[in-house]
Amino acid sequence: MAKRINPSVLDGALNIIKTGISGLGPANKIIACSAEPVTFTDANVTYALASSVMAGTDFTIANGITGGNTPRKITMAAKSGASITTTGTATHVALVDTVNSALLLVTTCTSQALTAGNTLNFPSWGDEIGAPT
Amino acid sequence: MMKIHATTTFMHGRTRFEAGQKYQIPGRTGGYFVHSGWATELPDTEADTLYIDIAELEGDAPLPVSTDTTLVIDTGTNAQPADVMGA
Repeated sequence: MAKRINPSVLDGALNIIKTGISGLGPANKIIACSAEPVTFTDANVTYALASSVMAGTDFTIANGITGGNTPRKITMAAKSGASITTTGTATHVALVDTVNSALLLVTTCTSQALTAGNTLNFPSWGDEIGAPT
Repeated sequence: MMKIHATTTFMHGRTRFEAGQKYQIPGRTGGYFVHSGWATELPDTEADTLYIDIAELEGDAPLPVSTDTTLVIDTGTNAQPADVMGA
């Protein structure tokens, strides 16, 4: 039996990252972290190693690639030249909303040794909400 | 186990290693810190060390320090089996 969801429903979730809703989002900062952050403070302070500012134009919402009828994907633009402020091993990347002190999205990255004073580049990456299957 | 002297303050997982402090940690992890330039190895006879209960490195070691590094970020996929939007 097929299942279907209107892409606008999924975009509603992704748009919290891109444009925000009242009291939540948009994401305005990307942060490399030394551990999985579970709170805004974890990502923005406790485990933060390097960060870059994000703007609405850094996010693109389009069709995704996973199975189902209408997967949708948000793609984050690459950000280069971030200063590494704390030495450590990066294992996670977080998107946060510093206006509302909200942790919006966390993903993993290949473990990477970072030394303060060097430069970090965030490549383009994405997050996808699959359609119901 | 390996004894190290942290030469800079650094984060590994949820653990913060303070510059100037001496630690006793799993050997492969300690070797990674030394190789990264964040610590120096101490002799086994060093007595004044703080034991840290952190996991030993498994699998590939973290990618090495570079003056200009590009992360390898994993794309997240939130599946919806049986109409339940997953995280």
